[in-house]
Amino acid sequence: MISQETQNQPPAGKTISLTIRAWRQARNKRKGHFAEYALDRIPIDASFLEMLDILNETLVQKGEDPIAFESDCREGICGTCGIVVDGLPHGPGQCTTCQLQIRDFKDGATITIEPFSTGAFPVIKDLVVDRSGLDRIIQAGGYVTVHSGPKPEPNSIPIEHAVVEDALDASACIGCGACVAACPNGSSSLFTSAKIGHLGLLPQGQPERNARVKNMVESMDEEGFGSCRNYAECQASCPKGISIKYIGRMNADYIKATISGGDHRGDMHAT
Amino acid sequence: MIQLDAKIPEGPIEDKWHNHLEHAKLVGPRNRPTYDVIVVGTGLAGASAASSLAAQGYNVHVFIYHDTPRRAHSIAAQGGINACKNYREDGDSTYRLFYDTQKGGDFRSREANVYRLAQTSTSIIDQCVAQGVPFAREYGGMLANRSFGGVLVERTFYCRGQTGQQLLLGAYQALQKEIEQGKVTMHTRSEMLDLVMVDGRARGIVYRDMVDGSIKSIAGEAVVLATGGYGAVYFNSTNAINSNGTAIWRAHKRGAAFANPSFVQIHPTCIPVSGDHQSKLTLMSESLRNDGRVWVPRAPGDKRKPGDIPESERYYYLEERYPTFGNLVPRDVASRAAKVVCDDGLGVGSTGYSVYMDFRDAIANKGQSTIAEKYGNLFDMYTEITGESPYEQPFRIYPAVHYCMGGLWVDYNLQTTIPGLYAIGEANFSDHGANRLGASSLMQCLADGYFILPQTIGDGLQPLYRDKVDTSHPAFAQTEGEVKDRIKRIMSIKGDSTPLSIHKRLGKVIWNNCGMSRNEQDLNSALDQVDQLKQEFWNNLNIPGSDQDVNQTLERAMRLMDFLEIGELMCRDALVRDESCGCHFRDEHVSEDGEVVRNDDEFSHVAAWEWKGEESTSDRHQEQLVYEAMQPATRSYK
Amino acid sequence: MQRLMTFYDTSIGKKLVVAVTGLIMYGFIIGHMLGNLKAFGGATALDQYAEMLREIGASFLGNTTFLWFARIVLIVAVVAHVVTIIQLSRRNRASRPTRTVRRRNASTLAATWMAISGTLILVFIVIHLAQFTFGWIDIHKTGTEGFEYGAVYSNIWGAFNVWWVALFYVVMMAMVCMHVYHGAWSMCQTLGVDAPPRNQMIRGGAATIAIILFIGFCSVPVAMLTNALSAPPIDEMAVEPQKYERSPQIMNVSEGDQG
Repeated sequence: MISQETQNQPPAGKTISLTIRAWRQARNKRKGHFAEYALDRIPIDASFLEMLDILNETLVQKGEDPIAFESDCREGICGTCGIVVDGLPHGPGQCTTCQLQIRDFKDGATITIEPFSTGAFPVIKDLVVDRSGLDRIIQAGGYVTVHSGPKPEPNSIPIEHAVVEDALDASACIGCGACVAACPNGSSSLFTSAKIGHLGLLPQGQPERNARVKNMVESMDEEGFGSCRNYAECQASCPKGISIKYIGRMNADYIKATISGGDHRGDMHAT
Repeated sequence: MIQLDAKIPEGPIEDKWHNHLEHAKLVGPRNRPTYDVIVVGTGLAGASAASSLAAQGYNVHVFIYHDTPRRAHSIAAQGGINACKNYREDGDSTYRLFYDTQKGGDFRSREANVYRLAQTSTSIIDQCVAQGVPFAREYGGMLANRSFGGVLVERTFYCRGQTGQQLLLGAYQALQKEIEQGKVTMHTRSEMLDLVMVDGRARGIVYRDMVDGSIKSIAGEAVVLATGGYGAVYFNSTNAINSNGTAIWRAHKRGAAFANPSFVQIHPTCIPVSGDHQSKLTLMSESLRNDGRVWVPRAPGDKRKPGDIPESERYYYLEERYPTFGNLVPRDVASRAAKVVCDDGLGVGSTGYSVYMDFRDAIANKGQSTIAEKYGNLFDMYTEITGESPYEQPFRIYPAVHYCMGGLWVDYNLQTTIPGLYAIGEANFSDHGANRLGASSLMQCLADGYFILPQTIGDGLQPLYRDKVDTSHPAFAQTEGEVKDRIKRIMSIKGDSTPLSIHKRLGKVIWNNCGMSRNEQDLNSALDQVDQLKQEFWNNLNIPGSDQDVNQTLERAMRLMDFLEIGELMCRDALVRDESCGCHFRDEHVSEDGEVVRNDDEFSHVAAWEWKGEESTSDRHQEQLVYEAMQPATRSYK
Repeated sequence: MQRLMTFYDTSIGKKLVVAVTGLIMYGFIIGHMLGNLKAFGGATALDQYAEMLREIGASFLGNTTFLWFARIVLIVAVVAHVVTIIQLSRRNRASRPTRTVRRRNASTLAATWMAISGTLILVFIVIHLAQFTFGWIDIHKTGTEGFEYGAVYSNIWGAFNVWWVALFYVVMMAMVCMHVYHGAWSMCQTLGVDAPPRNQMIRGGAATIAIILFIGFCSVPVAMLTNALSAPPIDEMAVEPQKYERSPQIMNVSEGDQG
């Protein structure tokens, strides 16, 4: 007997067959290739990454090298996972790869999986890429300079409800890099602008606002990310639905910061 | 022989922390750059400690196995962070937070540490707001609060359902700033595999570069472990896939006492297991219990749709059994109650092991838009995973392993029994006793990292001025050799069992026998089963590929190697603690109405285990808990 | 200066140059389209309008000085626009995804085709100038008169009555309008004018202007080809049917005129 809550889904125990076409690449400099793996009896309740776990488990049992892919929290918040599924970063649907479910795929489908690799995201192995460029953008200025210690009472600086919500929309970024992988230019504008937007909206972020935008924008170019051409593919691929409006704000902030001069990298840290 | 000196300062409880700071030895600003501090882990505790120490001037080396510090699993904390700001004027105070935490922990934590935590809590909010953490605000621009389990005040600060993420990003950004300034050297994709001891002090770590597989070591004057809990020993838990106990376990095997290993929190509101393929259990924030009502049908095996079951046939078991706290009882109580009703055959879902958490009344009273604003992302997350909408039918939830109250034993300075080795955040045992209250973990991590460790570490470092060691010391080569041998040994077994399959079986053994309820017979049988799994691991493990490469199977196997031993110690600890307290529910010690029965005469202590080598069982030491500020009472949430 | 160089060195700085030069050209084509509509006022109106352009500011600057100033600004804008985009594209080539990534149809056709439409427009500008400004290319309906400097109406009437010339123009106008549709919105985004509450308006405005431009530009060739706009008046047609060996000289003549 099927209880009501499972009536909308296939009954428990239902499975499907899939063919996985996976990108295999031993090292960054080596040439890669596609390998095909046939899988049957994948439980429909499994998540996409659990399907890969099952595939890897069979490979390990055969003594073959499993497909290297990264994941950690498996609940869509840590940003570790990132696979291009059938040509789409994080696959169909606006969520992280770990939130993809097998029930979203058809029985008998062939699924192609590739890394998030771009000019600035070199492959480390198989589906694992190096996204450390994003960290270096934050290092350039994505913070408020405060040491640990006594601070003013937070309610002494009221912040409008809507402003905080807007800042939180931007700081919801999980740093997965899907925006870069989805951009035909491999631009990190959405990532960078989200941090600039978050801190630029809050009163606490104002003292470093000009320096921050200048340093982060310059760092974004130095790290080899491309330029934004307003394709809006990043917004469509962002699992957290971050709007390209922050890119517009970053641009305006950058122009303003250039006109007003002010601190620059190096100046900011002079002691 | 381990000496457990908690170094609790003199004086009344309110003054202990300040007295302690006034008399602690300090390292002067000019000398700090000559000290190297190694921090392992970049969650809330690790990132906040590393950035604070670097800002003070220490040379900090930070290690993580992730690709960036922002991946740490603190990021997944949803509900909020406690602080006794008393913004609501609802009777909150430092003492009230201290009292709630002690009572929530069922009087099994060290009073002085808990009081300090409560004292520090308000500074955390100030610090985070100054960093730009966008805490929820009311329309007047003031900080908003909500309520969590086990308390009668509203003291929880939050950022939608992603408080952990926002706090972690604050700490991560502070860390990134120090990296840019050259005060922190970041070692990503580097997993700590052992602790290096020189003359009885922690002097460095051995780690594996996870890209090229090389084994390296680094020396420092202090090692700070902020590596979180070992809950992944259960395989299925709310922990991340890579969360592990290797760092603390290796430190334990080098001489750090391991306290209360069996104290593991089972969180009541998680999405139930759907099958054997399951790799992870997803938590639904405790904050949902503010508005969600937990119930099961009164009749066993009732297969009607939840909406068709009339009010009179619904068993709101938390509200009926605990009228004062209702749905907001502490986690251990709520979890156990769910287990009891499911064991009685009242559970719902295809497995019969889940209960309803219903928002029907909340939606009717407050409107769908209010509920959506408060919990929207949690509702969406649930829909994504299960394909069911909580707006239309109740959540189905079941308890899952969530947090380890147990961990490395630390003194008041957060130093373990090994001089120079510190443990902060979930990796230590200090503040939550036998059960942690919701929204207290973030508070403890940040208190440790921003405010406590940076002010206590100097006391241990100051005597080391001019007494530095580097990696040319033979102890480093020796420890590196031991790590390499270990890797060589497990790579060469070439059997048939995969690390994943052994891990899943270990998880089942621990869950069934050392989970929500324990008894002597089960625990003894668990010890035998773990032993068998160990045999299988060492004789029949299969790891393909090379250790000189990215090898995720090897990484998993090395973590599993330690989980097997941790699981054994957990069972052993649960077996010896012949009482029920908080999460530790011994079937032998239950009151008539099914509540825990403590034995304060015999077990009002912290159990600190000492490693005695592979061949002999560990020694159990006791730190007697002293109660001055409040007297232990029977915990009641009725 | 250092600040400007650093600014131009970043991708946002470069995009700003593209946006500002685009804005200049945007203004120009709107004016151009409005001027073209003078054709509906008849040959005299159009020719007089063309003459008027040459005479703006003539009272104190001399004939065509202003026109040349405007032309130089436009040339600089085109060059800067193109050069900056080439620099950006070169940089982007290195940062692109190295695996095949599909699009989620978030980007419009106009956005995807910016490079194609831009290149075609560049080619078109050259042809257009060669045909109607300098008269180097002289295609006209048999029986009509060839290119004559200053006889704007007659020149275009002759050319647009060749059906494939008219078709070429219509197609090219589609390219121009697609380019400026994405360009106008993109410019607002680059300048940070765009924001969610305004986005619909800006996108809608960009689309409306693009459609108006398309209709405006295409109306003249279509009207001429379908004879809705009549042939130039006979008396002007009667002017010597002799071919001009022309263009650079023409310019010299006109410059000579002012001197």
